[in-house]
Amino acid sequence: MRARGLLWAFCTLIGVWLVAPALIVVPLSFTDKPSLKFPPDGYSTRWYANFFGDPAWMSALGTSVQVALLVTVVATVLGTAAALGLTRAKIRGLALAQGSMLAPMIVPGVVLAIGTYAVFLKLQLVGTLAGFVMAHTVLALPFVIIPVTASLRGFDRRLEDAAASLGASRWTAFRSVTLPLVAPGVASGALFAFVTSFDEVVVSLFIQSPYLQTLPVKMYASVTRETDPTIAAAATMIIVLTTTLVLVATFFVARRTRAK
Amino acid sequence: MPSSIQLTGLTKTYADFVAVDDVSLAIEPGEFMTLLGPSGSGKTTTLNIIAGFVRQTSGELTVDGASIGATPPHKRDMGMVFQHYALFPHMTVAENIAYPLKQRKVPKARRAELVAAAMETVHLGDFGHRYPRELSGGQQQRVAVARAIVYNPRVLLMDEPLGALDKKLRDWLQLEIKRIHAELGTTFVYVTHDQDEALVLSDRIAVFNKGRIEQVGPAAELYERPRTLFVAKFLGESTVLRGPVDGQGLGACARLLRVPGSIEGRDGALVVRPERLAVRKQGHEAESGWNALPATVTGEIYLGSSRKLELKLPDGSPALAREQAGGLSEARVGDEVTLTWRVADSVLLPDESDAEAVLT
Repeated sequence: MRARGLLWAFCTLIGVWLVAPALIVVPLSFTDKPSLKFPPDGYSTRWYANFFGDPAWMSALGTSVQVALLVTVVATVLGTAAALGLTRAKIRGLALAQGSMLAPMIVPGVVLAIGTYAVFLKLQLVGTLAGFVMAHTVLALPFVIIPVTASLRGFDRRLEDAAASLGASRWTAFRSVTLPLVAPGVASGALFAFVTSFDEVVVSLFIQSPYLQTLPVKMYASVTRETDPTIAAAATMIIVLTTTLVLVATFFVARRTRAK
Repeated sequence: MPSSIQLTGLTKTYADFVAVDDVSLAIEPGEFMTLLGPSGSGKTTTLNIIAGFVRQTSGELTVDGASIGATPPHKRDMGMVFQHYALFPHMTVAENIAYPLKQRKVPKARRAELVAAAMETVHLGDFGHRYPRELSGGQQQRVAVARAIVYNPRVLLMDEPLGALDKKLRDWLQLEIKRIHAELGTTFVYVTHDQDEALVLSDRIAVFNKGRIEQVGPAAELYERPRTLFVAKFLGESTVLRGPVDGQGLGACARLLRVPGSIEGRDGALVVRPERLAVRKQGHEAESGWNALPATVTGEIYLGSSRKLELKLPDGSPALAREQAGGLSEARVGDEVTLTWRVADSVLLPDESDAEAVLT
């Protein structure tokens, strides 16, 4: 009984350790002073008003959402296609292909950032929407490939043969049988792709321009120049947005799984 | 109008082995043809070539005289029932059965009619709104059959469709498949490793071994007049006596046994089916046209309508006799007896020692 109590205490401690740094910005964002003092002396929503009233913040938010949505589409399509190839192709060098597609997860972000920056300078992609989408897609791909590959490995390929025998072309069979059955993997990949892009700082810092900044870049710039609690308001909204997305997705996946 | 299928010199080789080796087979319109053989004998690969899932290395495949060897599976207009049903888990029973109709752009109202009719044919009650996972194995199997017949394909292929079911259900569904075949009149190609299933269902059986067809014919012909030792041993039980053959007969157990026909200069195998062996009292003299061998009864299996006697011959090899209830001998385990059979009821085949290796 005592051991159980200790275990609970230990786990709670770890939980707090993991979550507290993220949650601490929530009270900070409601401070009434123009400083990041914790705990705040008084409360107000002025920093939220500031966030939504400032065109610079709003344009950064707009860019982030736009980039993240485009990355979600591009990375999900490419990642799903890549996962199909990786699970089904019978060619040499498959392991190498898989390794290189998953590399962005392992290669240090700053290394990737420098390389991307050098290439983008030459191609004049720095500070462009296309540049952001391309750079973030590279980072998001592994997060699509991994869950979709897992789903495809659990997929019974005889179902595609069955669809073919019943008159479905390969594309129709994929669309009407394979895709619906691996949809949870694809959805989870899409979600991670969105969050990966929306949160990305390191590469974005290199390829940003004063005219095109994502929200995390703007936040970083803001915290280095002034200690304005608007950044806490922005952070709080990012937390709420990503948490909501993940919770909704988890809920839907759980419901689907229970339905089966 | 049911279709005919013609396989000519069909061969499929993989990197290091030959899965199907020069298979030729003519399947008649409306025929129930069973491809029978042990696992790895090439029967399933042959079926997959007919369905179009596997591309033959060489050889010709025609349906109603038209070559379809290069046609993709979805344009072959064949129905297929898979071993594990391969029902679409995200669709209801009705949606599963309607799937091939949707691919053929059948109007919605007509679709519903055809689905209902197909469910009627397989005696699948009111399960249209259920999902496959909510059905038993036998019911799923019926859905698979309904889905494969609903668009009236010119050929129905079945890959061990009863393999995953228990014995009792299997016996019942065999009769159902036979009934459906009679009702539809479609050409059926059925793959199984179960000889009893093949006997119950088939018009003709093609026995596969090591990628080749050993013999094709109606069940009775394969059973009564097997052309190879493999066929004799794979289809039904038998006692096999091996030895050198000359003009006089076959030498086995220090005796010269009379044989039907002859094979020159080779070792022979004399095959006798259990119901053709009579168990007599020790010392019984063979009548003319009969053979006799002494034997010891080593086991007895009571089967209700019959009993099986396991025996040991003088050279130590086993023999098997079956007696119908009402005609039982008095032999008991441990008795010394004489086994007799009519020469005309035995079959003389060339001895292939490798037939044994495949079966054990």
